[in-house]
Amino acid sequence: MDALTPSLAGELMLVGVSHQSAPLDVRERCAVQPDRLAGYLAALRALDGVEECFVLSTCNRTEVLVAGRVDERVEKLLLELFFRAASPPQLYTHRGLHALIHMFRVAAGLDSLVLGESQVLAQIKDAAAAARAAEGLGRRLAPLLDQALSVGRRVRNETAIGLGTLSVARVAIDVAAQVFGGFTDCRALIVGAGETGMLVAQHLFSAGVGSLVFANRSQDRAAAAAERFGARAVELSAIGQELARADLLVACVDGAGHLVRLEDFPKRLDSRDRPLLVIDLSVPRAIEATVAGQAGLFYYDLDDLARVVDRNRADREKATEGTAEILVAEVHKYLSLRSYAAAAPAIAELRARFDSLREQTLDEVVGERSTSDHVRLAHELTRRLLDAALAHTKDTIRRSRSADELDREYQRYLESRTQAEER
Amino acid sequence: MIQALVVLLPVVYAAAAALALIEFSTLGAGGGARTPGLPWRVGAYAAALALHVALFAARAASVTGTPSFEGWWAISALAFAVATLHLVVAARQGTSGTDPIVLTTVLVLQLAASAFAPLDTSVAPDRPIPFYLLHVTSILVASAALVLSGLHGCLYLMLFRQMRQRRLGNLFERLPSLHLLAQLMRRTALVACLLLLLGSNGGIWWAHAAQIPGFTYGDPVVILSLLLSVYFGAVAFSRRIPGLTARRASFAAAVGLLLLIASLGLFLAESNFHWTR
Repeated sequence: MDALTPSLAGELMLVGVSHQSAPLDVRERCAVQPDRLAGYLAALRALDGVEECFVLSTCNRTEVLVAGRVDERVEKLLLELFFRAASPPQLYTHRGLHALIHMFRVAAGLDSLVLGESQVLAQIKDAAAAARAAEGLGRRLAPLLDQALSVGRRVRNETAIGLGTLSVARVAIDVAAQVFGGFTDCRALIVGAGETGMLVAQHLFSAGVGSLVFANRSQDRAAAAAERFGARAVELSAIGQELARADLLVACVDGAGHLVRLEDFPKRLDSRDRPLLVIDLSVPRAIEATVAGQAGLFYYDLDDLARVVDRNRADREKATEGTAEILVAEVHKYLSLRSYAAAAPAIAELRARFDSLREQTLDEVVGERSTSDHVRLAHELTRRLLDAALAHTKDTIRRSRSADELDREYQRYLESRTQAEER
Repeated sequence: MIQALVVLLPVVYAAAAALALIEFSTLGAGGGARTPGLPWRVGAYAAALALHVALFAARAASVTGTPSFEGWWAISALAFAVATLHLVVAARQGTSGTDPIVLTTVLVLQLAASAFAPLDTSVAPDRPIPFYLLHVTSILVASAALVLSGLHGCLYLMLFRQMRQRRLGNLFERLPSLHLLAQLMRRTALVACLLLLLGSNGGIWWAHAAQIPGFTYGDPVVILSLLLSVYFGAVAFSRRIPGLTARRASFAAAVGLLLLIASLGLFLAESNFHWTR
């Protein structure tokens, strides 16, 4: 490492558990509740050797990033403070450059349970705000987290990693959107008021659906769901009547058999201006499969929608190939900016020395005979010499770590992850 | 100059169509940038329109009068009108999913026009400007709207078929919604209907006012225009006609496009098809 490029090793350390390393019960016990975060950050700041700190705790990970004189002693303290519930194989520690790469990958959604999801960006932003409020961010972590957020946005803008939904309920809404355009004049009937039914209703409600009706085996549950979304609740026997008016039917009732039969559907559906959309998310199917043959309707079951989810997942995984280049470039940028910041005092000193030499030379050579031309010439000469010296310094900083070297480091990070997963 | 533009124009339209197709086939697919062809695609589209304007300006200058909209030059003008009208519609709707099919149609029209349009610079017939321009412009924009209505109808049918077969593939991902396609099909049909009426009647009025000998209400183009106007009027108001669903209206619009193509064929092949020839 060049003297102008400050090393991250021994300065930066990240310890954590995530969905990739530990089961849910361990993650739950390691999680830091929002109301206790400030206390944990204060405790971190009090640790000898820790100058800056940041804690990210979500349902899928708890990670502690510290900067300062971080060694094995600090690591032990972190494990003791945050990760007593986790056993060593469930934990990971990244130091120096690998900690930086890991943080950038997390922000990019490459380490998320749902590849490319963007919620993590908001979580990092909130965690950074908490760390800032606790005075845990300084010259190392503040720019690092700012850049991590920018990396997250850049990766999602420049690659397809965030495109295509991975939720079957969301795909169902996308299909409906492709038929109806918007939902403001759409009448939806949801059969089932369980978790999936509520999720579908939530999506439709957010999209501004014109009218929503729930039909459920338990009338109480249907009524509760209807109340939540300002909808109507009907009995299962009324499905036929409701279908005469509905544009969209979504069934999400597991283990109920055929609740919606062919005879429930209105006759002459093909005379409607737009087709009736029928989506069955139930297992086993709650809508008779023969319905699919009726004219004037589109019918989809779970398998149809799962194919879209699988394709989106494959697309996102393929898109990760394009992220390495962006991440390496961003790591390079972070290191360069850090180096410029590190060199700033030396540059200021050099500038002062040049100014002093200029004044001294002017006094010695021309003394009181100096004219404005002499002064202008001396200033111009000093400025040009200083610019030449600084250009060389900046070039040295820029070249101190080649993209190839960082690329190899990125590959080493990925290999270390693979080895850890295999263990 | 005209010859160079006539040769260059299909090439630029081909580039615009190819870039739109590339973007259509890669948009949202994994592994690459999200809209790789976007800046070039918009640039090629704009360049094609600018070249088209330059071609007509050069033609107008060379014939020392109103640029002729007859014969194969009318086909070129139709290509320009379709491309321009589509640009307006796509910008208003914020969608570029229909670009490939529209630009390919424009390319075919312009390719034919470039291949067969005469390059002579004979003086154009002297026309009384206001009525002639009203007549020609209305018919031209109406024809472009009719082409777009037919194309949107075709796309509706393709997407409908794919979704009906439970295949949520490329068309599902990249085309506008069925609702929007039906809306575009009907709105462009309405524009076509109104402008065909205006253009036909403007033409009749002009012929009377100018007391042009040989004028007849039995002119096949006049009859065809009025028939198409009624036909596309039915498409435009199909939501209010029981049984004429969006799918059936789309089919009707697609058939209307075939009728237009047939009438253009007659217009080009038969010298007595329209008396103004």
